[in-house]
Amino acid sequence: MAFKKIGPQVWINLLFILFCLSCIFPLFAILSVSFSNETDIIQNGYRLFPAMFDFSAYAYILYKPLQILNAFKVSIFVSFFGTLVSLLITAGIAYPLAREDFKLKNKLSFYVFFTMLFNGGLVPTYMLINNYLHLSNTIWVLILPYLAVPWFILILRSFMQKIPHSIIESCMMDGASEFRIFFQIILPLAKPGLATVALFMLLQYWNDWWLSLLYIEKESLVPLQFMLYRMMNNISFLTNSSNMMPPGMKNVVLPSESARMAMAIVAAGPMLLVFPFFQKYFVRGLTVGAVKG
Amino acid sequence: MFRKMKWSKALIVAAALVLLAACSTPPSEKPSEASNKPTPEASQNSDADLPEVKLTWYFPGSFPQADQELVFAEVNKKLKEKINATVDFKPLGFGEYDQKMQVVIASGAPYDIAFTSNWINIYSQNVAKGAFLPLDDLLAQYAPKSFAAVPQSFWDAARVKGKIYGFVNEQIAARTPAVVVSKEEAEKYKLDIPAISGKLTPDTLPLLEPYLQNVRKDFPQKGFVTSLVQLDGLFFNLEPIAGIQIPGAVDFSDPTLKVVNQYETEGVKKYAALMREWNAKGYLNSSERISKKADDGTEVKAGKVAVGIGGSYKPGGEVELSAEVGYERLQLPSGTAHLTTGGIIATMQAINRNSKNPERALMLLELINTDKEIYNLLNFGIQDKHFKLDADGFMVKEGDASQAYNPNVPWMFATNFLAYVEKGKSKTVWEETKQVNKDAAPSQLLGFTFDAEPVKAEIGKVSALFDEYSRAIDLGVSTEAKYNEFLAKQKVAGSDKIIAEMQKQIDAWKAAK
Repeated sequence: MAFKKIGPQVWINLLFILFCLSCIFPLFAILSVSFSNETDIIQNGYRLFPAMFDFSAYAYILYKPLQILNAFKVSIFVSFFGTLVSLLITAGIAYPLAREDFKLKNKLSFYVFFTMLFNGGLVPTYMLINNYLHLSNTIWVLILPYLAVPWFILILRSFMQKIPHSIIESCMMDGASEFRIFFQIILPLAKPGLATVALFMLLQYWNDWWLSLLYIEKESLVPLQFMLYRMMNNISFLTNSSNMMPPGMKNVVLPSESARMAMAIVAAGPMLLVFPFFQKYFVRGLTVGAVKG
Repeated sequence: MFRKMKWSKALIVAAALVLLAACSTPPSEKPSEASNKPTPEASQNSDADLPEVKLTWYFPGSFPQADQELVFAEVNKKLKEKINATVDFKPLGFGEYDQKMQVVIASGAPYDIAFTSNWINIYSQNVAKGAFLPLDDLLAQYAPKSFAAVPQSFWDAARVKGKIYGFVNEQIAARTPAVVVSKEEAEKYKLDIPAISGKLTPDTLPLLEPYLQNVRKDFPQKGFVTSLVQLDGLFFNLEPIAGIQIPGAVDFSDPTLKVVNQYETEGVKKYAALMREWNAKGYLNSSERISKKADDGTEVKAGKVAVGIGGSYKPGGEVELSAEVGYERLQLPSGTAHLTTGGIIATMQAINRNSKNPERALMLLELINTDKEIYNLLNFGIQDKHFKLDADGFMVKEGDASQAYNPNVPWMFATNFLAYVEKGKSKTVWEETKQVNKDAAPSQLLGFTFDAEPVKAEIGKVSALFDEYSRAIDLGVSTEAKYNEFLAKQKVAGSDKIIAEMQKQIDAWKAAK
């Protein structure tokens, strides 16, 4: 018996070790390149371990730290403040949708769901935000559009539906107001769900460069991911389309390979630290939401 | 239940209708045609009477620059004095400019000026969308000096269906790929410059072989680097209609303007065969280069290039080429320079159809194209802070402080010929460039722009084929059978249809002329 079980065990473990490696490897490679010497990279190509440790890439991107620090500040504010407000609003919508005794439940659910399939499209959205709401070049334009994401609302609704209705009823009998039930009973009970959704939101805010590409023209409001996106995109444009351009762009100094990777590490770093913090709830939240999904 | 269903269906239909309605009214239709016509009295007013305006100008470059706000403020001070206008500068990086402009244009935003070209914020597409204002009447009235300074053939190149929609910035418009070698090596290993300069064709390319062999005796790691994309059609004496990637080109010397598939011409076939031969002899470093989709300049920096062909030959170009690598390099024109529509419309400013002050926008362009001080301020930054003029009047950019403003796009702001000459270049570099432009053989297709819309799907397919096969052809790692397979697949993907469409448009254009 015991012998029989070892075979599949080995295979499963092996499979997951390989899978794990294929996830870690690229990250490790980026880390290694960011610590490499630029001439080493050009002459010998990428290596898994740097031939020689060299911190010049980090020195280069942190040489004028003001810009990058400011981008950090914007990113952090947007991510945390945005997640907090968004969580409150999402929970606020999800809760009534999960209540069995709410009459408009189905219609409202459909309304939320409908926006997942149909939306105004890029240009009308841009016109609304830019021409009518005049939100361009404000910090709020990075936060407001993601405040109520239908997908997160639906995940949280399914999670809240798991909370037995009798709990709410007994609270009502004890004379608790709706607000008290929501803040003191439902939210604590929904913690795993909230944590999962909060992590999604945090990642969404942190990784977003699209909103800043569209609406931000002021340097002081550029978040970290957009800085990175812009840098990478400029490089790829200059290397791919330079033959079409008027001659003379060639001597533009592009950030070195290692500086780009260092930048990627700097941008990804904080999220790597945040993830384990949420992980406790993460698995539970995901599966619980999925059963009823 | 039934009632509920109906409800939601009605909602969907209603929402769909709203969406359709929103899509079917392009914002560019809103402004009346009346705004296109300049008010005649405006030009008769003296400058002092001009009401103050704020213009918005979108343009690409190596942005953001650390000190850009400082420089723009300085420029605005001068503009306020001279034409009572200030500009809301919207500098964008190359990587974001295209995407951003598409949204800005589609939303009908009332910006005034935007940079446009055949390689970014594509001119022909924007004109087709009706995004830009025709400038024919306005140019002579509000920008008479620049209109007269730019050769008539340049304005003709910018014409779409007979109208000018772009304000051409003069630069090196005559193009031929440059042959680039190290100066020291060229002397030591006896590069036969008179035999090569301006005379390279697919037939004479083997003339480079003795030199390559000599260099490789001492530096076996150094090779030959070029690609179809870098050679463009020009090297093969062809003018590609929609880029070298897309089948369809006209021979410069063919007066009948017959469109052929460049990959079926003898020239390109000879090039492919020679690359196979050179790869077999080990000249191409192909095993290393194949790991990348395109040569991005790292080969040169790693010291692995003996001869490179690419980019564009221009007077004074060796200064930039040398600065790139840190040792002296030489550039030779590979062939006869040709003046093509693409070379001319590569640098233009366009005025928004929705602009509220098109005549003021043109006055601004006129000023920047004639006022050396303002142009160079935009171009190099503040004098004695971001650049210095030495005793001989050459422009010097030295030190870290000077890098705080260095967008590196002189041809973008206005005519390149106003720029202070960089130290190291010849004092008369702009006169030389003008001469190259003048001497270049003008293409017979000058003024023709291809509308790719009817064969969009086919173009997508053949350009995917180019991505698949071209690298192997350039590195000589493919076989002749593979090359024929490439041709056969192009046929299946619709290359004949593309070529027929090009021919049709060219014939119609020729007839209209």
